[in-house]
Amino acid sequence: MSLWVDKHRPTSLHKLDFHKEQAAHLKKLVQGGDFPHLLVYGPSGAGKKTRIMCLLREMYGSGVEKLRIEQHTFTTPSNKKIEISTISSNYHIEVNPSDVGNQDRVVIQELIKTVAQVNQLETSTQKDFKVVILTEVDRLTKDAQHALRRTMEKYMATCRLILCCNSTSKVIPAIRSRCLGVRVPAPSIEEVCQVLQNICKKESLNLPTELARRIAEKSNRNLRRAILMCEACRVQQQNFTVDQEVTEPDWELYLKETAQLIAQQQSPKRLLEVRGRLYELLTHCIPPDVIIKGLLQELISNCDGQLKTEVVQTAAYYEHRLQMGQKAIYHLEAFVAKFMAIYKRFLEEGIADLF
Amino acid sequence: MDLYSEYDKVGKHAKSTRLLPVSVEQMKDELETERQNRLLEEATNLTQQMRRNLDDGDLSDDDVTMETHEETSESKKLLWVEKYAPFKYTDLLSEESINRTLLHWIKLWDFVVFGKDMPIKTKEKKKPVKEVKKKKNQIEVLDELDKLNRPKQTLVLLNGPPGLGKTTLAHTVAKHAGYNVVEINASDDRSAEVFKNKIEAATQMKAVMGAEPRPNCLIIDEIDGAPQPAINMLINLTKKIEEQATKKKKKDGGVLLRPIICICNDQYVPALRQLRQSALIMNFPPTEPARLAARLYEVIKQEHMKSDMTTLLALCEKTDNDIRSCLNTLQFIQRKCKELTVKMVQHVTVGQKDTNKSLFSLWYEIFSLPRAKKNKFITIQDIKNNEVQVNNQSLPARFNNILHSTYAAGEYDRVIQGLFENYCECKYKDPKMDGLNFAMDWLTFVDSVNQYTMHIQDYSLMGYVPYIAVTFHLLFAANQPPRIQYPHSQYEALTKHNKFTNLISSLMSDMSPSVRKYLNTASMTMEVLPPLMDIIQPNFRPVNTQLYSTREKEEMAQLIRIMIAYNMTYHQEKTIDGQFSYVLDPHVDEVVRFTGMKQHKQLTYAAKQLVAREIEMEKMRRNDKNFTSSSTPAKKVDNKSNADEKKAPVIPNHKQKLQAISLNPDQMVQKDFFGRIIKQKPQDSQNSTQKEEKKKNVLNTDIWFHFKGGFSNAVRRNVRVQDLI
Repeated sequence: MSLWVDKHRPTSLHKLDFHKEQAAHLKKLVQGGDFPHLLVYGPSGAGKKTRIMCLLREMYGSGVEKLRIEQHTFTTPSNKKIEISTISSNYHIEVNPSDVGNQDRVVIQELIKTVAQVNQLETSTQKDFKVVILTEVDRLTKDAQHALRRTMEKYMATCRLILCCNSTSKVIPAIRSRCLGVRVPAPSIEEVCQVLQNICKKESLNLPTELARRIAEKSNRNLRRAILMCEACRVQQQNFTVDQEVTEPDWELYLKETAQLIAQQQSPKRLLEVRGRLYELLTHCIPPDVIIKGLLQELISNCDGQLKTEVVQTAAYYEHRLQMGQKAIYHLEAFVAKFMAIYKRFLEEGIADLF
Repeated sequence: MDLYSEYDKVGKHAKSTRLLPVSVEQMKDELETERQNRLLEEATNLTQQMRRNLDDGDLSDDDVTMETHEETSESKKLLWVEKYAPFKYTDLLSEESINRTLLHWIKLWDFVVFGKDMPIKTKEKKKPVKEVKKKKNQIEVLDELDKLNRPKQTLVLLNGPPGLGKTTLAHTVAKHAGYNVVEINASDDRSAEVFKNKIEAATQMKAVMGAEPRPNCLIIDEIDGAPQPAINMLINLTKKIEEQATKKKKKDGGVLLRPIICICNDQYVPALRQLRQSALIMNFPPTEPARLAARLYEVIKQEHMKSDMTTLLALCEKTDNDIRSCLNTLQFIQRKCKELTVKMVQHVTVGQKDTNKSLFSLWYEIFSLPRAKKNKFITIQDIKNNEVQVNNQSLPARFNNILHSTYAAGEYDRVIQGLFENYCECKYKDPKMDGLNFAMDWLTFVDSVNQYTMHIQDYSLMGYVPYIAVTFHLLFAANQPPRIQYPHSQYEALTKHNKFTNLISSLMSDMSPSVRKYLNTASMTMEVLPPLMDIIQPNFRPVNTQLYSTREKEEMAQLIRIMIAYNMTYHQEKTIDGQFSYVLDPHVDEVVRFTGMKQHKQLTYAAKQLVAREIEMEKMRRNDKNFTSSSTPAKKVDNKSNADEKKAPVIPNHKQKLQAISLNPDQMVQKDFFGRIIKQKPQDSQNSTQKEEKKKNVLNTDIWFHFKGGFSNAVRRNVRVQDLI
């Protein structure tokens, strides 16, 4: 409750710190007491969820903040029982259908039906629709997405959907066209700094601008991370100093080390070593696409201009295959091996040019 | 005239429709000719055979020829495999050492089975050979026999590829040692219950009937296909009895006192894992080709076929020294013609055994270049005609070999894992790492094929998966393959991953909803937990909490709040070296930390203890507060939020009255049952207005609705609406 992230989270649209214009738009949108289905997308830590909750509060008042966790059980057509937990208030229900993996279609069908088939009792004081928030829509299977699109139209009278995802590329066009897209871009470095400064002011601390900037840069413009890092810094040392160390997450450092290993030596033996480290990353629940992206970012700094495009292209290629396959380790290793080959060729050509 | 001709036609037609299509006379004639033909044929056959026998000159005795002739006519029905199976110990084709070990082992049982307490059986020990063996036994009794004078290893597990004569060996040896053989094989019902009955029947009873009642020897054939419970039962039988034996010695009931021989093709079947520890395992080496060929030569001589040793050796090689297969092939050829040539051997399709090679041998095959196998049995014509693709080192041959082995192995997933884990250890020349990339491309391709087949449930693409083995073979095969290791890292990674995801989900499941709402698993592991681990390790002075400054107290309270919100606490655990330590519960620390990275600061033991206690206290306090807040009467109804919404002066809840909403018939459009609008006649309007006035009067009277809040005062409790919402 009292992590800074949670404590200083804005609760109404007009208190939002950045993208104020968009906040104003949203406010206007719900002023009529109604809104279309929404598809909120943007990178992690940009404030999508915060914005959605502000929106709901604007709509329903503080009642939406009384939350409870419920467990729902559904039976699939093959008589398998699946359980999923939802967070709900009297006015909305939030669910992450991809928690149940392949069976997400059942959750979509059943849950939304049960929610949407019940009319609100008293329409004079309440809105006559409920809100269903679906998170991580980009991880939904195609089946579930197809199941969703008719449901969206059918129950329009009694329920509104707010879909939340990182990228729309994996959401089928049929759903995208049924929703009003709301893009929440990551805050700029300046905005992150500003937010950090505000929080520190509220906590009656003095945050040096340089440190704020460093934290903002290290957080990759992810506000949640920035605030948490800032608080971690505070715990380390009572008063901030300019040259304070900002601890990065272990996995990022580990990933960077791995990238260095790859750049240092290109041989099957090294590949084996790297594989061990990739396994380690995967087991620590780091998604493979994040790994490939992190590796690419580190490796590309070692490359010359022309090489860069080639490496990026291979990374894209293997990332694509990764999404199509099921065993991430093969694809990650394939990328590493490919990079090793490219880089080795490049180095050898460089040596040949010298003579 | 026309009429007559017509009649004739009809008559003919009627005549031709008899019961039989052919007349009886005709049939008789046919039979006669057939019989004559058969007689002629037999006569010619006879003369031919006689002539051949004379040619061979082996069997000059007329009696013998006659005998063999009789035999052939009757034994044509017999398979050669059975006909020429060895009956005596000395006839056995398998390796001498194996035979002897098995015989030795079975002789070790003599003391128990034929020993002193069974004086009737002494007759059987008349043979001088046995006496000698017996003496040998008694010499070895000291170290080899257990308390019940049984051999230490109560079971023998014969293990080897099919067709080497394992079953035959077991039978022959058992008979040789004077046992009555009882066999259980895959054709029998082998559910645990039936199996037990059978074993007990076989080991504890003996035939009373018959001239020479002999003790039983149990042979369990094809044990690798038996179900696990049955095998467990067998193991229990051998083990349990040992315990019993210590208590009541020499009590016969339920004690295993008969030898049991188990036979299998693959000793590494999971079901046999337990059995292998207690059994004497004997691996069957392949039969020597020369010995086999010699025996085959004897056989074909008896069957009057012409051939030479080279041909037979070629046959042996083709069948991988499989005795059964050799004999079957010979018998098959014999039916066609009487001469066996090298060419025939090369062209005959010996049933290619779908041998289930172990995964290890498959991986070995993939990673090693095939040994140059000199093919001795090519005739000059073959080479001229370019017919034979015998060289197993040629590219197509290697391709086919590997492909076939992979197909046969099945379990593509496991095979590929093995390839993936072992290929990096290979020694091969690949300076540009192109081969490596090629292999990786194949791996990724196969992975996407697998994903596709699993997802769409369309298995037509599955056939392309084994080609990856060929690719790996062609890329990485070497004369000295690496030591192949069983792939387990993927499984390990999976279990570890599962463990971590479970940790995270258990953490998430009990978080307070207002915190959890903003998080998902990915952001939790990547963004929140790493800094959070640092945040919950503030510096505490190692002094009593009473001495903390207000700031420190506030910090402490903050920490407690955070940990409760994120559903974390410390709990005591005993480490391996017996010391107590406090660890995070759930132990998400593991998820965030990587081995070999910078050590992070940890709270001291005392601090953790303190925190754990404080968390407990705080939780109790909160529960208490919740309870009291709901039990004390609400003094002030929180109307602020309502006021925000409505922006109108609101009467407090308890003063509100329920009001019926007045109906205005003018505004209402009356509809009939079908939804059609009913037009009201104008003259009714007066009436209706009068009625309406009446209604309004009713509504204006003060009517109070009062609801009883509870059944009795004893359980009545004030519940605030706020608590319900």
